[in-house]
Amino acid sequence: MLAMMLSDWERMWKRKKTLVSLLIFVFIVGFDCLFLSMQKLGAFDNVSTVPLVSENFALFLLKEVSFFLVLIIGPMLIIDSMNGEYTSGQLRMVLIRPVSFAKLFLAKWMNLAGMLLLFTAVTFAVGEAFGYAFLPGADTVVFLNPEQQYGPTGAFFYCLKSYGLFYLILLAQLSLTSLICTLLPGVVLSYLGWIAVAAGSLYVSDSLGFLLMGMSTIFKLTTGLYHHPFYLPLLVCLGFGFAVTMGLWQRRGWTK
Amino acid sequence: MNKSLFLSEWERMWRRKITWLFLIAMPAVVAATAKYYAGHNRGISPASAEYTWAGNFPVMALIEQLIVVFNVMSLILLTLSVTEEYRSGQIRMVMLRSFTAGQLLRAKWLAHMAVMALYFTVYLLLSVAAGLLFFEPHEHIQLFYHDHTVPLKGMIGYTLLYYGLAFLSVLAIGSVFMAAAVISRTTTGAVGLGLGFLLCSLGFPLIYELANRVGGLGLPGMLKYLSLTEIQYSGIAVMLGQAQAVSSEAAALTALLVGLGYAAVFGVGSLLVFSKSDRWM
Amino acid sequence: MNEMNETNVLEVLNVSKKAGARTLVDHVSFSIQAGDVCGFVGPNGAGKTTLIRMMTGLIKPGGGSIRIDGTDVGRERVKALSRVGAIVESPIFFPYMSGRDNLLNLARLHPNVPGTERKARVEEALSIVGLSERGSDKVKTYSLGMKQRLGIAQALLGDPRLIILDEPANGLDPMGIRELRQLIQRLNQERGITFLVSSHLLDELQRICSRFVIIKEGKLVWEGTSREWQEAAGTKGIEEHFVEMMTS
Repeated sequence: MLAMMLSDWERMWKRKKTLVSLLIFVFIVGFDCLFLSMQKLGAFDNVSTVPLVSENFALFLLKEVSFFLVLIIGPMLIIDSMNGEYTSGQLRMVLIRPVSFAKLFLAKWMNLAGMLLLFTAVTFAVGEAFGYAFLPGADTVVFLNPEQQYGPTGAFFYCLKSYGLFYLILLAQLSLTSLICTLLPGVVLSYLGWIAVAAGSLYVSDSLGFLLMGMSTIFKLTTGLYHHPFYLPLLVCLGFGFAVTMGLWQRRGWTK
Repeated sequence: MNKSLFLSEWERMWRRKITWLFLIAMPAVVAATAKYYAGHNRGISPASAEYTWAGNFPVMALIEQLIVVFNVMSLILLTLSVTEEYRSGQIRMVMLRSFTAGQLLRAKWLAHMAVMALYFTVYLLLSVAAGLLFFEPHEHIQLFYHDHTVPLKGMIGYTLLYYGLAFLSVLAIGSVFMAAAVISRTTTGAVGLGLGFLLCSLGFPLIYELANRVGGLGLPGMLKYLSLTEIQYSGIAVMLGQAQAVSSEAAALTALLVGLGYAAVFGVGSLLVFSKSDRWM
Repeated sequence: MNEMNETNVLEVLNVSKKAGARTLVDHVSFSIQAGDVCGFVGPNGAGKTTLIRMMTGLIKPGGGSIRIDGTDVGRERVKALSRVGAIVESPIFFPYMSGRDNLLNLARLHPNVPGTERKARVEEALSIVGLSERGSDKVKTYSLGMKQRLGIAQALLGDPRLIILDEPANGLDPMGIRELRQLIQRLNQERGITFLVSSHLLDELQRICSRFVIIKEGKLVWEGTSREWQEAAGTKGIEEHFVEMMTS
């Protein structure tokens, strides 16, 4: 299992796109830091804002960069690994070896989960560091619900929790995109499939809105203002996508 | 322009399932949009410009889907037509014929333009039908950036103009997607670049207005239309507006210059890169 | 060698496969014994690649079963493939990596290659196919012939007892074909590796194969040793006999 993960991990980093994405992403994070610190206000939505301080900076940074992760970098990495390698015929060199297809999927899933964690963690680290270095501190901060006040430690853990929830959403996206990649015959269709699922979910049900509007969901959820089920649909996407895809990998015929 | 080359590209466009998929998905998109506005209507006053009637539904439906659906369709079509054909080596079959790379790229562009024009037409027809079907008729319609209501007859011209300008804006963005498709070596790369450009365009007006306000730069507000998506988001409505508070002529001039600027830079850029590079062989 | 070792390395038992209404493979049975170099011959579209896909577990047989060293590929794929090397269709590598890095990457996937031996195994495979010097170049700069040779190198990684090659001579020039032939003979004689080599050209295989399996339109039409084949052809000559068989 470890060997399979290492082999996939190695290929992922040898694709130039991975490193280039990371560099571009770091640049975007840096740029958003400057942008936010000029703005001096953090906006939860079109109406509610709070002053930006060291303690809440990382949270608003994540809101700014979340779309890049959800719509560009995430799908690009996932689709290259889960669909591109196979549909270009390259994966055949792996498939003819004594490896279990289900474990191969698991290895790819875990590697991508690690990669997404890396991008999320970079954002958190930069956000916290920049926030404490360049923004004024505050004794207490409030988030979307003005009645809940947090001290510096509480705010730190509040941000950490929000990042954790966002990462869970990314994992649900990973499972769903893997499923899309397994069902659709090409890279472009898979990309389109993910955008259609993410955007279409807004029209289907409010409880699936977290796929595209992750941060707005998290703002509400963490302050008790979210009135739809969250964990259940999220875990269904995550678990169902994962299990069905794994089953498909085990059973499907590999003809490319 | 070489007609047979265009026809061959046009045919190839329609041999892709995805081109049909977009067309078949349109009724669903229009229906979802109608459902959305029907719900939206419940929360607002009928006097508001956001209130949807049978008469303004075609325009409202385009406003809702222009930035995501139409831009993404253009991006996907161009990526498949250029990057995917290169990656799979299909393009060699065409390049071996006696056409120049420039002719080939122009034919691809025209075929993309023709398909997009067809999509816009179908979307307009479907949304006219959906408007009549799902929304109440109303004689006087309040539009965005209009001081007075517009009679139903006036809506025909307004709708056609709105669709025409939206089409042109998609073409301007398409020139950027074309450049992305030409320089990318993988299809995911091309789609990623294109979507990245969309996100940056969406973010630019926010950054611009903020920098202007915080920095006290006093730059003209019209410069937010350097972003093509901002032209799509509010520019078209402002251009077609009839209100004291907005300067439609300035917006139209800015949008025209910006659109032409993008088209010139990225269109010519793609042509140059495409014809100079030998990696297509 | 055949007399000494009677074990069947590869057994294809009554295998069928349909795609929709079309029958790709129709109740095919044959077997290969250790030490054989078996030519797997049939015109384009006869079902060779489909059978090879089933042998490597990429697709499952619609009916029947395939055993490698007595292990059912459909049921225990990982175990069955533990000592098998293969090229299925054209060898497509990861173009953004060098030939050596491709092999190092793929060698990780063989449980019987310990990490400490990985580098040595890859260098050995590269030198067997004569790619040691170009090993550090990106695969996308390789010619078709080099890719085929790298394809054989990757098939050697797991210390295989059986190597399955799908149209390995495709795209090779006459020199390349001769090198390939010598390589197969050497590996067969020095290491006792059993080969199944598919081709649509009979004369290409004639000089190296001890055995032939001939299929047409998904059906087995002939199976036997090289000598039996020559006897069956008689005075007509083998090429004429083969063409007659294919057109009848």
